Amino acid sequence: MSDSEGPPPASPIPATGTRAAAASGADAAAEPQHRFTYEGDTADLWPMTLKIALLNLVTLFFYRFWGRTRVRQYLWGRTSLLGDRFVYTGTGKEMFLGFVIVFFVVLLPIFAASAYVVLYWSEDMGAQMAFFYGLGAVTYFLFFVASYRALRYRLSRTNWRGIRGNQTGSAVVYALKAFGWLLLVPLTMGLLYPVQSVSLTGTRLKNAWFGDRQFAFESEGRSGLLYGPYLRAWLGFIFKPFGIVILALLVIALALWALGIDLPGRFAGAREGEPVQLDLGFGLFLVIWGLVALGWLRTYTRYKARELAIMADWVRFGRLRFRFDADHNQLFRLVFGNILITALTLGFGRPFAQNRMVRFIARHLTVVGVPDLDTLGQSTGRAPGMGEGLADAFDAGSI
Amino acid sequence: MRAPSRDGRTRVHGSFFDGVTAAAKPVTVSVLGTGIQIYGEGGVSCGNWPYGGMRTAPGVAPETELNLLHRDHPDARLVITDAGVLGQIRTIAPQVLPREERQHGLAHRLALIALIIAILAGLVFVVIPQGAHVIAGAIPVDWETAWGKSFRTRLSASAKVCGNRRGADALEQLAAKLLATEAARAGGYDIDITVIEAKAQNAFATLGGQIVLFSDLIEKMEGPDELAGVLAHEIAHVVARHPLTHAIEALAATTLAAMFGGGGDMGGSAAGVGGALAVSAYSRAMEAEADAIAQNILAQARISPNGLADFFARLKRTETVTSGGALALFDSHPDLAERAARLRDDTGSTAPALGPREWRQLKTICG
Repeated sequence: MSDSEGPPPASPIPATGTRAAAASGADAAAEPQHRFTYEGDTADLWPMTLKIALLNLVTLFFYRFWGRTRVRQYLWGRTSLLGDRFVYTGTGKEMFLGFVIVFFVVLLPIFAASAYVVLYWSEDMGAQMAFFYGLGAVTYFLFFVASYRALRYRLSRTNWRGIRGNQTGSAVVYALKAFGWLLLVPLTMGLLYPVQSVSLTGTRLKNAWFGDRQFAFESEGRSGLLYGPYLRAWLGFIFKPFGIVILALLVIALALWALGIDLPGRFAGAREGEPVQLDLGFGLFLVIWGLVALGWLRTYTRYKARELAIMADWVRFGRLRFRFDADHNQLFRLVFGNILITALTLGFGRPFAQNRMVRFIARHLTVVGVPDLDTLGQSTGRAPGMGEGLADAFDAGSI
Repeated sequence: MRAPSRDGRTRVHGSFFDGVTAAAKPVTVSVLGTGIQIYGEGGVSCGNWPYGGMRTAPGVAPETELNLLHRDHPDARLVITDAGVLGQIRTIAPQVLPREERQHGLAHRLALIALIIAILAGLVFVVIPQGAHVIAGAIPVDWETAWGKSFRTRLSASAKVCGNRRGADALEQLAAKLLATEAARAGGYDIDITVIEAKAQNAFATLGGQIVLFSDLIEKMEGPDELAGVLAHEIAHVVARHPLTHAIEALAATTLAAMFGGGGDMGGSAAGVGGALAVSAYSRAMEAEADAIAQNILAQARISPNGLADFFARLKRTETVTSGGALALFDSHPDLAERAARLRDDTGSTAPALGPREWRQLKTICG
């Protein structure tokens, strides 16, 4: 789950209070609450998914732009707010053209440069290292540019009640910021992660528009609120029974490694081209890392669920506020389930995962307040002419 | 809801979004032969949408809601709640409506899944290997040589390369015997052998005729013929251009895996890694071909193939002892015993590949 994914941020706004304030807290007293409805059905997804998979294979994946568009049309078209449906107006052709341009302008030059360095500087160690580290940095940078541009494309192709969204701001500035955080967060051993999250989410949200109205994100001086959940999540990772088992296994594995004790069967024999083999020692290694990954995911969702709830509270759209109410178990089930669906179907089953994601958002996101739709005008920003080429190249954004 | 109008046509109600503000305008519409006429409050015309350029909102089933868009009014939307209009449009202008999606039965779905798996298998087991073979044949050896040197450069930076004078001389002597054979020269490669200090019994050949031996492997060898056999096997991979073919296969497989696995999420990455792992080892056909060529090299160098056979047999034994159960399923060399048997030849009489003194020196090449 990357930060760039998901449908356009809780965009629009209701007309008439369809549902009066439900239970909730005293603060929401008389304010109307509006939920998104999602009517997606796996029965519809089967024929769509199978057809897309077949066409993808037959066209060596050139169909993917059109396939993705079909899935989005479905996800958007089955989602409504205040009884009005979202319409996805992007096309496969736009995405294909975006990809073609990125292929010739970005990917091909990078590939050619790599080939040149490998072939002509083959014995210059320093030059090779410098080039490949540089390439790694450029790749991360382009990934961030791509995810921001993809957001702009999706918002500009989202229509609700005749109004489009848009994303202003510079993708390059966003990418520079994200890249800076990418270096800073590990340097502080992850301590700055919540601040980073607030900063990047803020940049995306404050530049998000629906029609001629801009989203606001009231985060000033509030990042500290995230540290409670952040520390609790990490402590939970260490002190919950599951975490203790993982830590114990890790300690045992490290001790064995430090003492130079090889588990039987590790590197049992010489084989060509296969530095690592699957046997007892390696099996144990896989099990431990699988558990660590699972524990990490649990920790991540434990924190993320709180973060989403807290940050949703800071979002404003005109007079509207937002509430996100998924708990960490629900978020974990969504994320873990989607990983399984995608991995076990080699990615072909992704529409089912996207379907779960949109249903999850619709179920847990509430719009609070009286919307003012008569004065919400059309977006004045220029929408991008082409779609997501860079994002496709870097696999950014899963919806 | 229907209301008779002044002009006698039936009018039905709907919501019109003009694409200028988000306000919903209550409208009445008339379905005409050429298009839909839209009236606002007081019967004022809000426009006429001809059928040409009109379509239903993608992803919205018209049976659930008739949600119309028009090419000439890109942002505007017309939502008609009257069920009768759908029937009228279906008669007058069916091209406005999306084609009906057929729902498939379970058998149909399973057949499609089987077809998808078959195409995928065809790609992975036939199209990619055959294609890689053809492409590899078209690439000049020179191009590979440069890559091989680059690899050698990076290897010497990341691992300790062994080669004391005596050990290197002994290795040189053994390699020269093998490399002088016609079978070893067939590929046109300038073969380069590197020994690195590493705690794993391994040896591999990579692009541009680079062969790497791990020190641990040499230490565990029980005689010069065994090492000669393993070297001949690696030289055979080079001669048959397996590293290049395999690199192309891996590139194609990773690209494909990125395309269907990709999506920037963890599930997609896992699928991608799985796809790449699927092609991470040489195929059995490649191993068999390398064994056959190795047999020729050894015969022409007058070295017994039994060294290689012994080595395979020993591998087989360690393997049965150490990896049992489910993990054995992943084994890519289940046919070691068979390969050993095919190599074994007790008819000819040959001298050891190296004298005892040279062999001792070679064993301590990392010392």
